[in-house]
Amino acid sequence: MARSGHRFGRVVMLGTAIAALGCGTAAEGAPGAAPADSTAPVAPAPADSAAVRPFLERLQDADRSLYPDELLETDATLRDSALAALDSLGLSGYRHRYRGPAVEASLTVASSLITYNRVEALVAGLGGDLEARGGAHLNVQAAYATGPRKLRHLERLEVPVRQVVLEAGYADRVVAYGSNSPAANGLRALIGSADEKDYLRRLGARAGFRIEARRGGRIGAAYEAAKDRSVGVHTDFAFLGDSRLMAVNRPVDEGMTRSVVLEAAWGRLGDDRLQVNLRHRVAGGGLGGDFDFVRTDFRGSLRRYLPGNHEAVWDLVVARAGGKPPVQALADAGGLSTVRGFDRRTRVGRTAVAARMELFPAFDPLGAAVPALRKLRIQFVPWADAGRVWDGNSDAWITSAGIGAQRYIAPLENAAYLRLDAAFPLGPDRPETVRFMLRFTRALF
Amino acid sequence: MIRRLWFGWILSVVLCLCAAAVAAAGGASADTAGWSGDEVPRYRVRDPERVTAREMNLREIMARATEGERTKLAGHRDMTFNATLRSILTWKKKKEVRDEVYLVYQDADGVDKRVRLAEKVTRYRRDGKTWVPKKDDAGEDDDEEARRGSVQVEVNEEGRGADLSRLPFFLENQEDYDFTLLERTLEGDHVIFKIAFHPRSPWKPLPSGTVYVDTDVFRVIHEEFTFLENPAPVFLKDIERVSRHWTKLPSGEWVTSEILARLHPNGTFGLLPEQVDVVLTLNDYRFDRGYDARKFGPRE
Repeated sequence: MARSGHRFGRVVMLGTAIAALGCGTAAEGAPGAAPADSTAPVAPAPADSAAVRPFLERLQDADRSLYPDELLETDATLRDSALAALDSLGLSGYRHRYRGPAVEASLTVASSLITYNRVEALVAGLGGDLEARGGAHLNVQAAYATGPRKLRHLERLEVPVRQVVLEAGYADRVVAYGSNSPAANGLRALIGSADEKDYLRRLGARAGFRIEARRGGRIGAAYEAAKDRSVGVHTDFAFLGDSRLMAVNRPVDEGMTRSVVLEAAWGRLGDDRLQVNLRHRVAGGGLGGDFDFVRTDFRGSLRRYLPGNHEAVWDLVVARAGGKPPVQALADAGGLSTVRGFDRRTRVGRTAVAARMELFPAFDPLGAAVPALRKLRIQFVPWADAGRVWDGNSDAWITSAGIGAQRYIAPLENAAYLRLDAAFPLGPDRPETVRFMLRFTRALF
Repeated sequence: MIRRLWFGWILSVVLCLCAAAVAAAGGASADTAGWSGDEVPRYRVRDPERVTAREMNLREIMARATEGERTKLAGHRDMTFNATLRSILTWKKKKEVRDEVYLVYQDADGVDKRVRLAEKVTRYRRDGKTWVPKKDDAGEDDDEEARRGSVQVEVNEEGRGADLSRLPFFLENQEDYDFTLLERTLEGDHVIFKIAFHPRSPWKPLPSGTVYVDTDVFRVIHEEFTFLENPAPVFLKDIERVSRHWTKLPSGEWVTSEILARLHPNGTFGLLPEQVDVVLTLNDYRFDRGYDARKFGPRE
């Protein structure tokens, strides 16, 4: 019996080894499975790591040998004393003993307000954070807008309660409206007079909640009450470019909007290769305010590899405004974020659809043609856009195609590459000019 | 009578020789079941063990490794471990050795809490070819600058799901990488696959690397990475290498024991160090002890 058991063990081990080496058994080559014609029961291989330990030690020793000994000498005294102190005192006692703060305060820059644009000129200031042990977080920012010479401010409170984050905020600042939202727009405006947004001044408050989940998943709801006002242009300064592009900021319908906003998002284009955002706003009616309307926005992006490791990215933007929306709540098409060969908000209506496709070839034509230029790491990206609106200033499709040359600069989600696009407008209503745009583009990783 | 005796003796010898010859020719195990000392044993040749062969392709290996990694801590509800981070930052004329100590809790619900317990900084200046501890203005040694006043409790921002079944990035985002099976080696009764991977797009600053998969349980047991495309050109010259070491605990779990890295920041104007070496040592793993609010603070 003992001999029979020994043989069984050898057969199992042999089966495991053969299956793992790629000569799987008929039973799908399962590791640890006995041969298919064996009457022996299928059982897992003995879990014995002794066999791989010398192998692992060789790999690990070879790896460690590349580092100085000083790095590998962990300070066990520091670790042991800290852990012993935590053991005896507990976290609260440890904090008390070492004067850990119940509330941490910090001074920062006013990161949400700092910008440069044609209506505010340079906006700069400071912010402060108060963070309590439980995770409640108060952020206050104040900044001075050098164009209109006004103070802008923003206050934001977040209180996490289990998986729900309660949030409330109050702000007086200039915000952009419309579909166009190029990354680092302030930098583009300052350097190249390429301010590609339209602005209004918004004073208002917001209260709501959000639930954040893995993989960029998020749902939330909020009540918002805000008063919108038109703002004029205060500067056309830029280091380069044509200052006439900075000369106009269209007026908006002024008034109070009281609304409920529902938001949902899922996925990250880098990790999940799919990203969707949905927002629905109901304004007016029983909520009050000067405007009665609903607006729904959908934005989706998808990336996939094609044969040859080329990569394609598709974007779809859909917006629908119902009721009696103010002009700033109408849907639009045209501009860097939708149809690149046309100016921003070329088409404005109640419904807008825009679709884009970009192809990221896996090869380097510049480096292949001129090997000395391979180090520049310039990637060429052909693309095409199309869009239109319904119940607006035109029912015709607008389309454009072009090519971009981009170079990787930093691991930033929305500004990973610096790209120069040449956009060729297509169709009967096209402008006669080819547009060149220098901008930052998103990461696809 | 004598003839009968001779005949019987000769017959016995011949039978014995035949039996011995059969046994020698077979060289196999003897089926001795029911054999008693008075009987001639029956020998038979067993059929060799036959194993049908089918090539296990890389896709299957990756699928099994993914499943193996996903279930590597299956059955466990939570784990606690210590993490000690040592980093050496080297400039041309100075050097800093930093030690930080953390206590970490992770569970199947995605709760990931790290309590930063202590930090010690030791500074050196270059004196010829040697490093000597730096002194402050009062002439005191500036080493042993241990601080424990900044206890921080960090909650992983990944949110729920950053749990015990988290996969290595190259398995989580397999679509972004091309894999190549480099080698199959037999270590004892274990087969180890050596697998290389690199980004499918040559334009993305993603890591390339080599990983080793133990087919006993289809677990990743060693990882080495490098970056062909500099991931942060503004701040870094390059990341020379990153590696993760695994170990098997006596209780059977495969866990990370060390993460080592060497990188070269962009040392323009001497603001950033020329070289940074880092080792994160993880030890004292404990499973299913529950959440200890006394050590980690309130759970939520």
